[in-house]
Amino acid sequence: MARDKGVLRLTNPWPRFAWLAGAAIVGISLALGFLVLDRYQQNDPPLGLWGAICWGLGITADLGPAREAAPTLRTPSRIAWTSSTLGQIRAGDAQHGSFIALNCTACHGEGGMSQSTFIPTLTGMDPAVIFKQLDDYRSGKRPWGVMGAIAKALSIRDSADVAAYYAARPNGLAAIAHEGSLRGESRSKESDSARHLAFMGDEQRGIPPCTACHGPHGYKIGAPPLAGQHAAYIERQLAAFAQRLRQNDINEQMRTIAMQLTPSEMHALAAFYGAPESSRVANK
Amino acid sequence: MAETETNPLRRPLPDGIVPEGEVTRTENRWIAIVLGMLGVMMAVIVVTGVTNALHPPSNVEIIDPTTLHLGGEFAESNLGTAAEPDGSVTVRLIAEQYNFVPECVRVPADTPVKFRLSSADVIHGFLLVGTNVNTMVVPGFVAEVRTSFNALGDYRMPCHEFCGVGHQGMWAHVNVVPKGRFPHLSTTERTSCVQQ
Ligand code: HEC
Ligand code: HEC
Ligand SMILES: [Cu+2]
Repeated sequence: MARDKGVLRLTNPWPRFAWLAGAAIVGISLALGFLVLDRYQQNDPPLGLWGAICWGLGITADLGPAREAAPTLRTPSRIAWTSSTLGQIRAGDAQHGSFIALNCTACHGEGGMSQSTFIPTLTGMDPAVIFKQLDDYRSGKRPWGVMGAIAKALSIRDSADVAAYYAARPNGLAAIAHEGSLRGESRSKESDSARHLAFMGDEQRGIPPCTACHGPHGYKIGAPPLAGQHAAYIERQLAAFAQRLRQNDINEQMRTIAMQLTPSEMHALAAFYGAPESSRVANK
Repeated sequence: MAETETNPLRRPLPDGIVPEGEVTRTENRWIAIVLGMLGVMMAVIVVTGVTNALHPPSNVEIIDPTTLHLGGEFAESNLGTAAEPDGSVTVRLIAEQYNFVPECVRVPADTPVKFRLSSADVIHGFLLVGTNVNTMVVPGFVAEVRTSFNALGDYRMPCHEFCGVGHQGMWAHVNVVPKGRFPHLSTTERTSCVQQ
């Protein structure tokens, strides 16, 4: 009986057996994992001994990505959400931004509350959104004549400043969302289906809910607030994404979704999110 | 005196107590059975691993997830199916909250296919039901899976790693077409079945 004879005593064969068995299991596993199983790469000839060991360790220098010719590079935007970009945005100075914003009032309205249904309201918009859209206009990634010219006249610093100014304005998009359509009773069957798309999406067609990125359920950086924006503007942007007239969304986030929406769904969603007429008048 | 000299085990045992020799024999029998079961299970793993080409993905290529769109392999102009000179195809996809891009990929049947995926944000999963394709897509790394399809049709691929509130809407398709119906691609062309 092993336990009577003392586990550590050399005359006792059981500990030795246990150590040997443990070593054998480790050895066999290493041999299987590094030398046998990963030699067989589907669709390719089996790897050599060293190739297999390196592959098992994750060193794939010899296999690497295929370096075939690539199509002409097309990028959606120059902006990436790196820490240096986020730093530039955080450094925005709202005080200086308020002077720059004087150039925008003619179109975007007093304090960013646009009165025209074709010009977006900027009040209360996330600074990262304004910063990115201005850079996309500047680089021509989001083509729109007037905004392109205006953005070119602004420096990177200026865009961060004006973004900080509009983001800090009170009673903006988010505030309208509170009293607006998101909470109200549904008015028709059409707005019921829009509400469903907004809050649930459509699994069958692979459409995620809008609220997962545009709030309030989740926020994806760079996704503008929708509630309270002009309905006509929202609808035009959705159509532009679907027809690839607007291609400045990073990794096709919005194009992939908009392409699946029917024109009547776009219309219903725009009406659902769009600012109610009354709140726009009240803010005049 | 006599009592201390007698081995207590030698005394006749009370009813219901099994002698120690018997216990040891039973223990040894069960140890053998357990070791046998472990051996069979390991053999099953090894054999299915080799015959069905199931591997833990062991590709350790690193990539910056925030700048995928600025250039390199996962720029949007390079996504989709590419034809290789050796007749195989390579499919490049981005997994992001809450889409695969492109959300419909077309591949020829009976052709070696290599999927290369990367994530732009959080961990996603890539699974093709009925095939050996099943991998995690971890931000910062390139996931690579090799397979070939012999059944035609539309494979739906769900993201099988919970990635946030829009996760249930994260689906895409792999459309397997007969070799002859797959478009002839030059080296700088990419194809997908996203309707434009
Ligand atoms: C001549 C009128 C005009 C002026 C002046 C103007 N804008 Fe615009 N702006 C527009 C229009 C029109 C759009 C929508 C264009 C589109 O559909 O792409 C727009 C869009 C934008 C957007 C994108 C918003 C979104 O929701 O995507 C931002 C940001 C913006 N403007 C900022 C500014 C700033 C900052 C200024 C001042 C420095 C300014 N604009 C001056 C007309 C103007
Ligand atoms: C995966 C996250 C995501 C989901 C889901 C999503 N969006 Fe977006 N959306 C974005 C991002 C990011 C942008 C900004 C794109 C850019 O950088 O230009 C955007 C932009 C937009 C714009 C343009 C707004 C403006 O001010 O220019 C509209 C309109 C829009 N989305 C509507 C919708 C609707 C309607 C839905 C639901 C059917 C939806 N989105 C679902 C991420 C998302
Ligand atoms: Cu996912």
